[in-house]
Amino acid sequence: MKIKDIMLTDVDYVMRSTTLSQLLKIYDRFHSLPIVPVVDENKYLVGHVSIADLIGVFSPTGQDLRRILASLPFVEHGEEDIFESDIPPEMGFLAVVDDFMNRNVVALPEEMSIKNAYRELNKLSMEKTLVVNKNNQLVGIIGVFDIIRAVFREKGIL
Amino acid sequence: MSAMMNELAGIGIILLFGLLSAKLLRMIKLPSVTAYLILGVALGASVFNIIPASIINASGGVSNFVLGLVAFSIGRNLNRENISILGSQVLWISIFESLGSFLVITVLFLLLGKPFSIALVFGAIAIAAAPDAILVIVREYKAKGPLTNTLLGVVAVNTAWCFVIFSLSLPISKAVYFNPADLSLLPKVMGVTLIHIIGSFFLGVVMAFLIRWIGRILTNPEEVLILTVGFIFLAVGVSIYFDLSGLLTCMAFGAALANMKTPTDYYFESLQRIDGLIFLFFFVLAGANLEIDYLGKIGVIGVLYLIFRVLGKMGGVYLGGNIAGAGRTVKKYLGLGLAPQAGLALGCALVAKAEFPEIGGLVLNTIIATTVIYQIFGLLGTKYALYKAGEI
Repeated sequence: MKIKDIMLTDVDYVMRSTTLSQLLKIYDRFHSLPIVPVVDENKYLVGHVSIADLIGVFSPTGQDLRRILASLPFVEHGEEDIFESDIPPEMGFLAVVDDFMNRNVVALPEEMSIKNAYRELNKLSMEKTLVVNKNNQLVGIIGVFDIIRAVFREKGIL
Repeated sequence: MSAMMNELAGIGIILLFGLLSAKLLRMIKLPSVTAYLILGVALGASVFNIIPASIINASGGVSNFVLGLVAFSIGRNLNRENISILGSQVLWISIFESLGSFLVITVLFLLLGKPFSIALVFGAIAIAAAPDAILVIVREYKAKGPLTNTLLGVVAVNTAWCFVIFSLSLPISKAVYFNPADLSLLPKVMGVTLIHIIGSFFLGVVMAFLIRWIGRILTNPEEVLILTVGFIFLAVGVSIYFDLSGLLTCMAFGAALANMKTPTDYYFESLQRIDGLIFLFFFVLAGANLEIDYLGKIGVIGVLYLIFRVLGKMGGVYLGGNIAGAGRTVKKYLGLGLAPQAGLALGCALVAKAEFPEIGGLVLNTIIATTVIYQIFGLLGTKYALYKAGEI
């Protein structure tokens, strides 16, 4: 069985030009931010936004520099102090997704077997990730739960 | 006291007191590295003599591994995307500030009558800045602006330059030390150094392909961590066996892995689960290596090193900034902002002591003493630079 057989295809996504306020409004009713795919006008996957990226908005540096600094030796992996930060209200429309998204997106190909997908997700310590076709266009999202459910179905439990 | 303390209790004390002292110093806004280092000095043979000699004697091996791990992580950042993110201004300034401190300290030590081999090693270590310490100041004072961004970019690249120049300087320094009067050997030394670079690069790339090949059969993050640590040990060990540079090998290893098309981030990220523990141990050991008797001998050298290293950086920033068209504030204050010196310099000094013990004692003790001072006055330098630039 392949990823494309069980993945969720109805996925919300945003564009690079989506503002911080718009993003927060889209996910207003969520308790936790899911992985938000960022695509261009042809639906090519160009990045994603996660909770860690949103916290990065509070950082004194841009997202890319922050990522480089975090990987430097001896730098403590402390998170930004979101309560003491001076973020002006204008940030809501001045900051766009392109400023804080993670460009280093890990997506699995839709043709991958669910067994390999399960292994990759475990290896990456991720519960879900995005799925792309061979042209790197966003086609869905796959999670560990989808895979487990497929296995239950195969065993006749579902 | 040390006779009462076995190795296991010694390790336990290092870890527990390291954690507590870091929490304590955090309250007065000093980075953890400072706490570990001071604790190491206190627990070492020069003060309370609590850490068993067998642990201190293992410093060479530990530092080779830790610097291998650090070099591997730095290699991850060496890709086209990051270079374009940082921009040409950061690259030019980082090249010149590194060369500035390297040349100024090397020449200073030669003028002080020190042998070329010692001057070269000190020059290479003087390049090292301290991203951790600078970031503590930036976060603490919520610095924002062009100087802050350029400073953080430059310090990110600085680590790579430091490793490259140190890796090349150490074998040259050793060759010159053991053949002081034979200038005819210079071409041979340069040739051997070139082979070092090519050999290390080749070994690093081979390691990257091997880890990716074996990595296909892994199924969970624990296995990824074991494989990554195993490969770093292997890369350093094989480099030492073939007389190559473990640092360059690990940097090439990280860079080759990061530039592969398939996802490889998890190899690097797996190390974040253990690096805090390893770095704590490493810094306490570094502090424990301090020999108080040496401090009297390094007085003048130490003071001159402290001053001229920063002057070299300031001059280099000014030149690099002019070439890259940097603003006046950046050219004027960025060099001072780079004053802190910490883990990278200590690591290089520990490797120098392990691989080149004939000069290692002087190098390590000078670097420990100056690092402690830089941890206070260097941080003040960064703070002053950001303040004068109007960014805090």
